[in-house]
Amino acid sequence: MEKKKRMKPLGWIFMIGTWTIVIFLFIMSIWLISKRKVKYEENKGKEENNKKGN
Amino acid sequence: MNEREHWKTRIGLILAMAGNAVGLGNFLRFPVEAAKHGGGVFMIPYIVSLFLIGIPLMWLEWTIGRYAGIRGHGSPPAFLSLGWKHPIAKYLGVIGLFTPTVIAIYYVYIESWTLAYGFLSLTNSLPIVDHTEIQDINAYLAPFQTFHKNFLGDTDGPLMYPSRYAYLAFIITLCLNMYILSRGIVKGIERVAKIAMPLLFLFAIVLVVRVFTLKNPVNPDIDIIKGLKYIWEPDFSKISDPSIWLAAAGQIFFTLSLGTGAIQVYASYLREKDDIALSGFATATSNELAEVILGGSIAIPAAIIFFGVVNAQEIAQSGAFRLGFITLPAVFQNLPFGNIFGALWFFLLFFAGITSSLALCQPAISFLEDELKLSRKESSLILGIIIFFSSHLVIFFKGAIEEMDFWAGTFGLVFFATIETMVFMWIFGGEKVWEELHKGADIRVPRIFFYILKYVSPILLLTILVTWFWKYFSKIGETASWNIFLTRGFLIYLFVFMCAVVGIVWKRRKG
Repeated sequence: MEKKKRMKPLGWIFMIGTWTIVIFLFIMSIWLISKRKVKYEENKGKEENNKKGN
Repeated sequence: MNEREHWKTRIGLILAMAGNAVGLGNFLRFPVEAAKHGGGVFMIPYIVSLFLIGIPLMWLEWTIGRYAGIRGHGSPPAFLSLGWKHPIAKYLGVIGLFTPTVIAIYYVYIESWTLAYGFLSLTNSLPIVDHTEIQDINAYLAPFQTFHKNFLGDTDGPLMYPSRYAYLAFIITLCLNMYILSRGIVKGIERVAKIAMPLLFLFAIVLVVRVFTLKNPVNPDIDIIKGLKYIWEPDFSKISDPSIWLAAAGQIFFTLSLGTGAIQVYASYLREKDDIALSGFATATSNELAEVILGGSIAIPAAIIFFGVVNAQEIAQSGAFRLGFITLPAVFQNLPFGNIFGALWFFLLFFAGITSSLALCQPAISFLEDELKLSRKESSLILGIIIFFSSHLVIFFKGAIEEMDFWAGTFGLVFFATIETMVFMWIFGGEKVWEELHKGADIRVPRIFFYILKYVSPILLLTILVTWFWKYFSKIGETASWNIFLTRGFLIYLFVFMCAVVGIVWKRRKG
């Protein structure tokens, strides 16, 4: 029967460290997108206005 | 020039791009690779590769796609022709058309297994074995193994005779893919991505919570910590092993769906001033979230909790299909409400699969639409017929999936990515790419990525290519049976046929 063996601190550091990097990058990209959403909508609006103008 | 469609919303675009990237590999291949290559220490080359290959190439492919799209082209032969004004460029681009189409031929069939297994699990039609019998892993898994063999019609000979469930599921999955594709970018792909991706994340979170609360039915001391320990505890003796670096670079490549041509084709439906720098980055981070956190916390930890480290190691070594279609059902079917968790697992894989297969089919659809001027419905029908007949090779001939996966899903991707990086960074001009990337950009990409794209990524890609060449090509003739040669013949025929069509189209255009 396999004995209960806890993960070494280095294992926790690797796991939590990697998860932190991944979550940080994801949240940063979503936060940036939510901040710049207006500009993206503006592009779409401008292009549609140009089409109407033409 | 036909008016090309555009993505309706940015979130729809990012979800579709993330759907392209998040595939079966995120949940089956990544944990196996991490566990096999030194656990936590695998994450060092993995993160390094993400920044040296993954994210830079993602930006390059988005840039190529948008650049070609605003010029009315959305297919890989046209991409390379725009980047390099040489007659051979269009034929090099055929690799970007050939690769995703071949992957789609076997991917749709595998995807259909997940749909069938989802319903079989939901209706309690998968085997149930008393969980106190987990002494002998092979005996315990035998009913599941037999079930899977019968499902695929696996025989001792070179042929397979699939069950009616497998064949019906394949037909349904193929029709569903073609129906969605025929609806177009906004009403088809974007709408599906907006439904499938949130559901995929929801199902994955539910399964992670369930796996984290699992305990070994015989020895309650074995819990999630044991599973996480196996994946994450670093084995530093392996860090100097070049094969780990190669495996990590390969994993980054597959997980982000680089070199399939799909990213460029999706990006070709962007407007000229739509941001690609931030959207590309967000796509990569969404994929990493799904892979590293969710993908790494379901299959392997569950297998370890239930079967112990030694058995789980053997399962991991025997491949992703055994893990996904034999081991995981064996775990879930014996839990309270196990049929529901099993169904969630397979529907999660189905959503991951369908969002990827739609992207894999899109390069061929765009080629038929943009270069042959066919309608969306005609293009979907033609591709559907091609995939239907070609898939019979993988349905009936043993080893065809593996053979196609090597040529298209492994070698083809890296080969095409190497070509496009060389063409755009060295012939078309790195500075022009950089300028194009920043048109309408919501973020300024650090300049270091320019040098990475121009010098580091091509060297790394060439290294991967040469090493694989060295490792696999000497073995090509060793174990090949007639059905493998038949598959190779089909691949050669398909490639030559695509080259001929591209040649005729370009000749007519010139004329």
